[in-house]
Amino acid sequence: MAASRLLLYAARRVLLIVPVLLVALLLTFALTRVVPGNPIDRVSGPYISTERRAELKHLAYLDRPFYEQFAFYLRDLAHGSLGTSYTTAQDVSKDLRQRFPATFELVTYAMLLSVLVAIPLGIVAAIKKDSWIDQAARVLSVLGVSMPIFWLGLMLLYVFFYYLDWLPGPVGRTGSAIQSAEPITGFLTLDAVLKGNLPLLGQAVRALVLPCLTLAFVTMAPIARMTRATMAEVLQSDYVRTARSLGLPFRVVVLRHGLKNALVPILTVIAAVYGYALGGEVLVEIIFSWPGLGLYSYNAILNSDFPAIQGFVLLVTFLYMVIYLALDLVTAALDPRVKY
Amino acid sequence: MNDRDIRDRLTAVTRRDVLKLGAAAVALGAIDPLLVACEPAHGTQQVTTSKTPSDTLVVAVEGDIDTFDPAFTVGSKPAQTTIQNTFDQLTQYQQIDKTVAGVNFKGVDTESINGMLAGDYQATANSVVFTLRQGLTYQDGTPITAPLIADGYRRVFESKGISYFLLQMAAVPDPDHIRALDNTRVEIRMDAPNLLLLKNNTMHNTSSLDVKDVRAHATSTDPWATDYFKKHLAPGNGPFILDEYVPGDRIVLKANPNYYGTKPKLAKVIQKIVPDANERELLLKRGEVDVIMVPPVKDLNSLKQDSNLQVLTFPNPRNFFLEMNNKVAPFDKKEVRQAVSYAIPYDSIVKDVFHGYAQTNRSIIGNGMPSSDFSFWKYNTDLKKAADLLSAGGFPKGQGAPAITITVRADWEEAERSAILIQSNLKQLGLNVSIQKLAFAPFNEQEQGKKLQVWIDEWLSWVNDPWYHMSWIVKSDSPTNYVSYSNPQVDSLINKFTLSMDKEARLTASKQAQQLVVEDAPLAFLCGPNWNVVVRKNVKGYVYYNDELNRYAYMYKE
Repeated sequence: MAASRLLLYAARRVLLIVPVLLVALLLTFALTRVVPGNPIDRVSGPYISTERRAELKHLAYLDRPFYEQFAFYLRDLAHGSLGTSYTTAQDVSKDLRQRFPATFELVTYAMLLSVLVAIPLGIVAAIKKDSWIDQAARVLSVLGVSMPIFWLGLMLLYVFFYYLDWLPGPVGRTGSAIQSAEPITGFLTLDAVLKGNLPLLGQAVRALVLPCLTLAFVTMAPIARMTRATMAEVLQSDYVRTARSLGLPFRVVVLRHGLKNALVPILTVIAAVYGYALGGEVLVEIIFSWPGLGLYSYNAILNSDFPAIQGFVLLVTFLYMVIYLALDLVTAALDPRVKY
Repeated sequence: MNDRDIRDRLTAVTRRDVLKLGAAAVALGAIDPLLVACEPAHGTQQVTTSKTPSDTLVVAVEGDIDTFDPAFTVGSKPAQTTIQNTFDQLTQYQQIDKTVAGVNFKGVDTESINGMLAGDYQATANSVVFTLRQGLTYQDGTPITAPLIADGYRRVFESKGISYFLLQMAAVPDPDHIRALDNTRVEIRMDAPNLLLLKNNTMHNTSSLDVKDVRAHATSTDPWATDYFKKHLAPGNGPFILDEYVPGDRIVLKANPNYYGTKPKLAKVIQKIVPDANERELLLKRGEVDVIMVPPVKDLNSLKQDSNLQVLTFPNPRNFFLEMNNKVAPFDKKEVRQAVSYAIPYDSIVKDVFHGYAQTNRSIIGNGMPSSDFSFWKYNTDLKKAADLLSAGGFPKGQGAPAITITVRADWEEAERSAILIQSNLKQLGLNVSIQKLAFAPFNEQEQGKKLQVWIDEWLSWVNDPWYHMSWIVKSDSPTNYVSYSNPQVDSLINKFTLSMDKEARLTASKQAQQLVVEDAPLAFLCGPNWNVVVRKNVKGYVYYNDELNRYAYMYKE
């Protein structure tokens, strides 16, 4: 019964994706048309007659009213086409498919690192309130939210690449003397393992270290803070005090009774940060020349590449909705009080 | 414990607190000297070795491919470079040792044109007949014949690629003016004989695609497969082949084993996409790459001190302008434009903005372009003359003048810094001047729509010909005459001499046109920025071409 209710809820949420995507698309469409700049001027260049430029704008429907342009876009979308990027001349869907693995791999590893550090740190800080560990955790959290990410990335590059020469420079996912590798999944580390290509795995991991550290430092902060806050609250609760007084081992009390009850808000923060990172780590990608979605969207915005911007927003909105759906389902699984 | 004890306990400063505070202060105080100790001593360099294989050149480039179609390339130099190195053209410039503005370098003589795909060419009154070399093939082995070349040109016209504009400028109005005489000879007829055709044919935009590949990817709505070839590089006939392209990451070329000409010394060229100039510099210093394009100008002097590197700088006819919309007040008055020209701190722009890596420019025809003549120049920085002219223009001490907005591209540091220097001087004349930064797309849109009041931009003519150059910038009906300058005398000269065959008359008339343009001051010639490339010490063979595209066939590593 509960399972069927959950399935029904999941199905309703999946159906909700479509109207949300439409609204996001409409807003993006409107904003891109309102802001000055159009891609035709950039693509056609200066060596073109006024008549030819007008013809190109007509072919791209840019001389039509807004609602007509939107209708044409929806028509193409219904046929599975996100349009052609003006900056890459490739299909937007192909561009996104090529770049998504780079971003997903980077963000996922960074989030894993953040979670592995932030949650234990938050737990220890909550247990040893006002101790030096708690103070250090607070300082790290403040640094994480206040330190400019681009500064951190550049400093890490300067120290570990330029000065110490321990790690590769900002040349993307593989070193400059690369080994060409036909992608299987597009996730380099996974592809390397699947192919048994240890040198490629080594290159991919080394290239991931600095951008992951940069991103993880920033994403760690809110996770650590939330973990500390919720754990501190949970550890003060009656049932935890009861569990302690009944003689349960401290580790069991903290992890099974404390953390499990604190997990829901922590997971919410993780989901929010994960979604944000997937769509917004542009600066990290610029600093490390990482060929992912962030750099793609950044170039698209600078060049008023409408199809690319719209495609990117669609993808990120979809990812957000999937992440939050997963969060809700996990929350329901964790917390029996949650009923849908 | 009572309240007083609790209060005392909370407020008391213990010895432990003092020790903790002291340790923190020492630690903070130690950070700075520690960082200083870690920093390499000024004036000393580490000797860094290149990490790239000796037969592979790794080039850090600034951007990605925007199109692979030679007929449609516009803004992306990496795309144009890729096409230039994978396709040969009918003709090419002669390489020579040059000296421009006191700088010696290997460059090209744009008045001496040799055959490339064409082993020979014969120019008659109204036509040029190109005789193709024997044994030419595309990289897939398809023989290159005259009919294929003619079809390639037809494609340029009928797909309305950018290059058809260039052919029309050389009095070749349609593809029927191009035909194959037999299997080895291509004739291009001109409506009027001119010197531009051979020069225009050296450009990568005129590269001919194999018509077999075009037909294989043509559709009913796209008979010339323009959509397909924007996304895919056609099999070429140049010294290199596209080996791999990973969007956003790298463009890899490998030597073409079937190339008819001198085989490249390099086996491979990896063009790594690194958008940030400072990152490219870091990579070069560490030996991760061998060449960087568009290096940060502010760092060129310090890079020159690095014994592992060489800074290649090429003075060239590139113009860096302050463009004034001649149809928008107050720049619709010649006196005001002249006043602004007198107010510009030219020396500061060359020294402080470009750190000496720019030439003074005193004419619409820059240094290194034939007929360049700075003798008509009169606008040396003189605020008093500027004030007098502003007054003559109806705005004494700037009173009554409309507010002025200098627009610059947001990602262009040199333009912004120049604008700040210009603003400072114009304010001394009593003018109300602000600076507006726009992202690339809106800047482009407004510039091409002629909606800007005054802005900074630059121009480089790929064909090193004064009339070609002036046709684009100062001819009244040119689509790229963004300042809306109009002078019937200048137009008349351009119309008469662009297609003229009389070399001497062309050069003489060019000086006349330059004098008129300097007098009218439709634009202010801020300077001529050098083209700069920084390479590792062991990289040799760089040849400067006027289109600023690398020719990897001549480059090698010692």
